Amino acid sequence: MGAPELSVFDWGSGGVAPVAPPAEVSFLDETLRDGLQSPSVRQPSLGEKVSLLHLIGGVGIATANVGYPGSGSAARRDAEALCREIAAAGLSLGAKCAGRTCANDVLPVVEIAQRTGLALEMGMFLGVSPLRIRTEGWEFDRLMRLADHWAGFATRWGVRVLFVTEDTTRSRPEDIARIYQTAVRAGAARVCIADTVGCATPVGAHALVRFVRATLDAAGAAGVGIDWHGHNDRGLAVANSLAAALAGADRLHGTALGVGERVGNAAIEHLLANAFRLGWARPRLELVPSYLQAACSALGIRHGGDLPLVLESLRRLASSGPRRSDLRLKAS
Amino acid sequence: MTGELDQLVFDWNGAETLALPFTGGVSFDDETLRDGLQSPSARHPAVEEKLALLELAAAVGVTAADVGLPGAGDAATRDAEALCRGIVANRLTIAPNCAARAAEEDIRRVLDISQRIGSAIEIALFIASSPLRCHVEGWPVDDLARRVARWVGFGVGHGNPVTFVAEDATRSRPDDLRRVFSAAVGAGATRICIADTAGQATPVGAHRCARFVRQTLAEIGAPGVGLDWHGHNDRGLAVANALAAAWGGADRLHGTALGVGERVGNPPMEQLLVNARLLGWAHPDLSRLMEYAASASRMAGVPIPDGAPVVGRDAFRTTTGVHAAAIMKAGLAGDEDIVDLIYSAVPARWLGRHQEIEIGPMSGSSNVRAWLAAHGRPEDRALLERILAAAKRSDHTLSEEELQSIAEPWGQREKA
Repeated sequence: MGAPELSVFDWGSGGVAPVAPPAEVSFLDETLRDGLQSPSVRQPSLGEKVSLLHLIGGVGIATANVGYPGSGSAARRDAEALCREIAAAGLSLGAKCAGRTCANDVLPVVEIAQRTGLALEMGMFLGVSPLRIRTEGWEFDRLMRLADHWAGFATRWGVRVLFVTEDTTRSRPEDIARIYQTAVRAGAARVCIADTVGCATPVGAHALVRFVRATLDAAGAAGVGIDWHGHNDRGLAVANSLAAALAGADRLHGTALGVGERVGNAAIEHLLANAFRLGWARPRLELVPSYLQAACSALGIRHGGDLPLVLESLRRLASSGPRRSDLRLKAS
Repeated sequence: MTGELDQLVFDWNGAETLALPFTGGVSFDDETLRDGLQSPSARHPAVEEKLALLELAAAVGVTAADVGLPGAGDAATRDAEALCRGIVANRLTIAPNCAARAAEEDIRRVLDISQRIGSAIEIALFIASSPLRCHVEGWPVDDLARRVARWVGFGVGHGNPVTFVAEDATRSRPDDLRRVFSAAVGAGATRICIADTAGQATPVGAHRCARFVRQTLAEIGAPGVGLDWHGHNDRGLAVANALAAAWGGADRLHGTALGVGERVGNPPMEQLLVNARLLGWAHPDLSRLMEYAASASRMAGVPIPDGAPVVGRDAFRTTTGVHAAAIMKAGLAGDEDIVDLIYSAVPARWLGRHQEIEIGPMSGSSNVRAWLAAHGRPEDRALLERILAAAKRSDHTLSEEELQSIAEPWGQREKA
């Protein structure tokens, strides 16, 4: 079968320009935060979350969101328990918590970091689009002060800050640049571009990430990484994530089966399979089916009956392996 | 209001950047009744059900539909003919096409239907053109162009428009594609279809492939030949690939209702239509899109997942406190356009839907206020806190019945 395999022409990388991301790509699993915001899921027990956490680490996902501690005492307790599990079980998995730029949300994360001694990351989110600012009656200068204060506060208390701009895909370039520069100056280690409403197209995602990368580089923050967090309202979440990676986003967010707010997020199994196929990463795709099945049962996901088809297509992708041309291009 | 909204929303997608390279906009071919029914999960519907779907497809702006593969047998031939007759009888603004393999029997069956109904039917003639398929089938690659010319010529010679479908085109070499497309056009094909049969394209590849074919058609003196894109969703990229292909020069996109189709399926038509309208590439009336999806779901016996973009139950539904608070604020300010925009990429009103706020463990007081307001209840602080506490304790979104049973004692107390 060597001959026909060699004769497959790959239009995705066919010789014109290299189609490989400029930086190594990793993944962040949002199933236990954004996934739990789906109106159709059941909240899993702590035991179910722990099992899922092990499976997330097993497939080769680098970081897991362990929850939104500011949203209530149960969420706080679970997030802390998951952090302790990562440490106790020696999982090679980074932990991230979500929260807004306010005392109610930042303090619980700092407390968890202090009590567990784990190197904890906080996805600290703030809406910066003109639409959101107008609706909330905010002023941009106040947002700048919040970014500066809380990114600085959490950093000083030993929490790595991922500064998340909500609704970035509808925000003005000058506003995005100003708020990221402020957050990074205050200590944020990474920034996250959120396509909160899922309005981006791959072209838009690419343009936005390229802009942010250039802005950070110009501000002397070349070491600050970029996350892409996308939603699937237009059915484009996976493609947008890949486009973001090509433009320089080095960590992509997704959830099991794409479950999440409204119609959900980028399906992480598709992100992993595509990254594998493109030669961008080497996740353990053979473990993805058991991870997805566990997520379905933990969250009570009704998946329209096509889960076996999804699993079958993953198996096909896993067995076909990365395209040689992609690997070659990445190496060059 | 539109001018003001433009000020409030920065468009990173760039309407000008995403302009199509051709005039007249993009059109759609509905493959539900052929590729869709190849889904291993689909049941096989009666011809009346199929016709009902076509009526709805026409209503949402789809202008072409594959009515089947008559070559599959007598039943398929009967259905295809009945659908062609139904389209005429019901004056549907949708043109039928029939799939056919490169074999006289297949093409002959379409020609016979065309003869009996007294009007031409587009023949979607598919031939595998990748070296991989030729190898597997034991066909000499050099022979391909001759076979293409022969069978395209056969259909055209009998007075029917032929769309040449290059199966597995996304794994075919550019020089091979150029040869077979030249042969097809030379024999009279009026359209070329790039088929991503194995669903292996990425948007970058789809764009390149479509642009290459468009250029090739111009070079061989056939700029007026139409270009279709037929994709599959194995990598979760089907919708993006179709849009990328249009951006590269494909002027007709194939999709199926709910994305049902071979393996994990095709691009969902409802998502193609919404994206095309958002991009200004087409202006379909989407007011019956929910009906179209429901009809396909019944017809094929495939449920609509809650999380299906655009048509799923959860498309405009939130229980999240932060989201509910912003939607409520916009509503209180009387900004109905902003209510439909603040946490939504797709205007729910296009589909006759609206933004829905519900109450669950991730909710805040705004969610409860929205519920109280929707039920004409005063904002009783104790009741609000009681509902919110129940939501926080719950492991799921509270149902209407659960909410009523929490609120009921309050109603009685007020009356007393």
